[in-house]
Amino acid sequence: MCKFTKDEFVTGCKNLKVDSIKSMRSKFPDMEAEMQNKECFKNLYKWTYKFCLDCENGQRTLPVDVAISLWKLVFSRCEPTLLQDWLEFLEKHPTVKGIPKDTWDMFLNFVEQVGDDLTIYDDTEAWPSLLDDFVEHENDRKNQNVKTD
Amino acid sequence: MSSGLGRSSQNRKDTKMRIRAFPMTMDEKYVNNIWALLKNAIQEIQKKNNSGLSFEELYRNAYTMVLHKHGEKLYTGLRVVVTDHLINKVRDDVLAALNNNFLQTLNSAWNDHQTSMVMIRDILMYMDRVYVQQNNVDNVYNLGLIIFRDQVVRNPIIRDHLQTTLLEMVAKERRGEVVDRGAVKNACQMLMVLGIDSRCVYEEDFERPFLEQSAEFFRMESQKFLAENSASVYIKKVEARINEEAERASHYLDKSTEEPIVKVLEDELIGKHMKTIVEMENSGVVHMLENNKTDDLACMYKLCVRVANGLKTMCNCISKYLREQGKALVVEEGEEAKNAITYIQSLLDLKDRFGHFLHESFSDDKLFKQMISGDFEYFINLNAKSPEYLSLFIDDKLKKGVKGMTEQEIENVLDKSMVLFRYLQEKDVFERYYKHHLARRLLLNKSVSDDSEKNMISKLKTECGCQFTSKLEGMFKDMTVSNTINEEFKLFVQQAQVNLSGVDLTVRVLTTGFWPTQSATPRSSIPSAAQTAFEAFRRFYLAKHSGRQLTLQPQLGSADLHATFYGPKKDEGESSNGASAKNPRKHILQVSTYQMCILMLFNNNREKWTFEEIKNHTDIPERELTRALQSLAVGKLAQRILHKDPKTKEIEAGHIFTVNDQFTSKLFRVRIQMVATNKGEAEPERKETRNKVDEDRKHEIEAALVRIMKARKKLQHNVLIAECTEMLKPRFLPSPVVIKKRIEGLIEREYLARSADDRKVYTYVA
Repeated sequence: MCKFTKDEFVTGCKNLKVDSIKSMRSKFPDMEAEMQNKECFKNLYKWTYKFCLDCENGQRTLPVDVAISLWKLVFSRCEPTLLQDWLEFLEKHPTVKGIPKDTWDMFLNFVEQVGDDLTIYDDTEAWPSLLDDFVEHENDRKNQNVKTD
Repeated sequence: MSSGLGRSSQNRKDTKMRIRAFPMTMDEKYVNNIWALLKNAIQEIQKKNNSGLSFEELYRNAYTMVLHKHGEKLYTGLRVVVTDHLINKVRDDVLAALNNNFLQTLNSAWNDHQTSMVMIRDILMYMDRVYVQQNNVDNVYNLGLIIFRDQVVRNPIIRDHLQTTLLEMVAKERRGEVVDRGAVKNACQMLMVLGIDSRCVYEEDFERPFLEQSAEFFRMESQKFLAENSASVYIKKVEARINEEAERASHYLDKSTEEPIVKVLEDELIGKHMKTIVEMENSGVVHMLENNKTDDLACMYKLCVRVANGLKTMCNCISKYLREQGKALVVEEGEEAKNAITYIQSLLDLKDRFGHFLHESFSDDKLFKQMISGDFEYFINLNAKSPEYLSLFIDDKLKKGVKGMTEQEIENVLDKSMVLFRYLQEKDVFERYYKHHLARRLLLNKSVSDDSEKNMISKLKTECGCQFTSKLEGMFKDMTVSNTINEEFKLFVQQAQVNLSGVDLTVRVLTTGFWPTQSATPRSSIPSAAQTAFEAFRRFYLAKHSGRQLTLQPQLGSADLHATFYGPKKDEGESSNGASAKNPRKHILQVSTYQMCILMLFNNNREKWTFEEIKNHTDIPERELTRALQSLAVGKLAQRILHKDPKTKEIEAGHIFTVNDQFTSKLFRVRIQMVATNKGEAEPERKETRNKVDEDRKHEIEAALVRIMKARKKLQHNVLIAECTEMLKPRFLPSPVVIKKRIEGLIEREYLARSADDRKVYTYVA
């Protein structure tokens, strides 16, 4: 879980042309710029899940608390509007123990396509059921707010 | 003839013979004479004085005129003469008779006209053939018709009067008076003929106003009929009216009027009041259904068939009623669980009732058939216990002691049950209960016959395919094999002199996969004698089939116990002190295995046991223990083997049980019946069954999904859900949400994947 092999590390440094912590740091702006590219970000996002999976112990699903931290991490530069609500929802949800890979991947699609406008979300489409629950939860909450007003 | 033509030998090709026209000229005077002759003749004919005329002479004269190219004069002259006659004589006559024999006068004028025109035409036939053809004018007869039509029949006064007269006669007849039908018929035929090649004269001069008047008349009639406020009276009157009008049209109006007049009737009497009649309180369709008025319903049906939407209106009304009835039978308020037998029987009765209506009143109409099926499907699935109840009903019919039914009757009832089965949405739930009840019948030896059981299974097979029934058949096989094993065991015991502690043992060996799955087998401690006997059997069996495992199922077994009761009978008085071992009564008690465990406890010189103690000693699960004790201690007096203190119906931990030494029974063998099971499962068990069903469904959904994806390789989300639902419909109706969760599960286990280009499409992972 969250481990690099020595080979991976060395190859990575070669590709980045860095040989010290200082040079690594200097590369950061470039790397961040690279992340503005949607495709690159998508790759990084998807890879994050596998990276943090504890394969040695046969883990197939990411525990929900790890997932929450990862989400915060991976979105730290460009936080989507719904992220906070989503993470709150997950924390409160009693039965969710792990996040399947499909849900992790689809969350990015969700953020891109639905953004903060939940009205365009269609739960008869092929979204993971956890996202259906989330949207339903959000809609309920908003309705309650309207009522109390 | 050949002398006139001398060229015949020279020109063989030319074989036509020409007769040259007779070179004769006609002078003016000659023509006028001919015409005068003909004119006179025509007039005589018109006066009906034709007997003195020579047909040949007249024909020849007409022929001559036409031949010499004076056809026009002849034709025009004819027209003038005919017109003259019709205006000055005929019309006047008719007008004179306006208030006196009008119709007869008109009819005879018409007949006379026809007759004379025929004769005139015959004389002038050459003109018809030659002049008329060449100049494209009306032929003689038609000319006569046109003039008659325009000058007589369509003279404004005559026209109106004719219309009024005819309509008045129809109205009279409708009121019940007798009219001269022949006169009307003639008049109508006349109008038809006057249209020459069309029926427009009849239509304009008579039919249209007739239909209008009729519509008005029936509008009023419908109000009158409705005021009587009885649907059955109304429809009968309408039926009578329709027959009457149709007959009228075919008899003395023109036959082609039949269809439009009936249509008017249908519109006014039926179409406009459809809903009112059908829904009439206290006499409409609902009333007819409630009171089994099959004939009235048939009459109403025949009327509704005639109008667009008539059938639908009637069908909807009946559907509503049927759904109400069905719902009332099916709904369970609060705690009271229904008796399964009466529940299903009432549904079957309802189906029979409506089947009778369908056949007798609605002529097996497809729309009604579909409606009935749809309604049954609707309300039978309102109650989630329907599958269980149906299984209990069938169970009752397949058990021994089914009273008062012949084999054929039972067969019929089972067939009807299959019809209800088809309406069930949750057929997998039915399957589970059926297996459970079948197991009970087989193990407790309650089946009326193997044949009727197998018969029922083949019915299910026809409906649902082999998958449903293969396990059931396995159960039968186990029973047969068990019988064989028991024979062998008995032989073995005899020969090897095995000690079974005095227990006469019969064992049934059940293959785990076939029989209904039990939650973990309860570990109950059975009395040592029974235990020893069973161990002997186990050794015997495993010697024959090594590698197998045998687990005793105490909840399914039964036992026959020898019991001796030492106490005095109740009516022998209170002499309980004197140990009256005078007349100990012996009985054989047929009990369940659990009950055996309980009763044997009282052998060990211990008279009192509390509920709690019994539970601890026997390890019987509490629910089962309560039931067993209830049957032994708080049931009918004839079954009360034990006393309970306090004597309440409920059983609680601290209650004390003792043997009822005063027990008596007329029978030597006393069967202790378990608390009635016709009410279906109790809540906790039902929940458990429901959970198992849901578990199974998850697997079935996943299997269906994999099967579909394997075949299609790539499929869109919505299509996949639709196909999956369709595939599982014969078993149950899965919700899209549940299917979606299963898809997710399959994605996680890498059976399916999302397509890279479209996240709404799934692909099969080989």
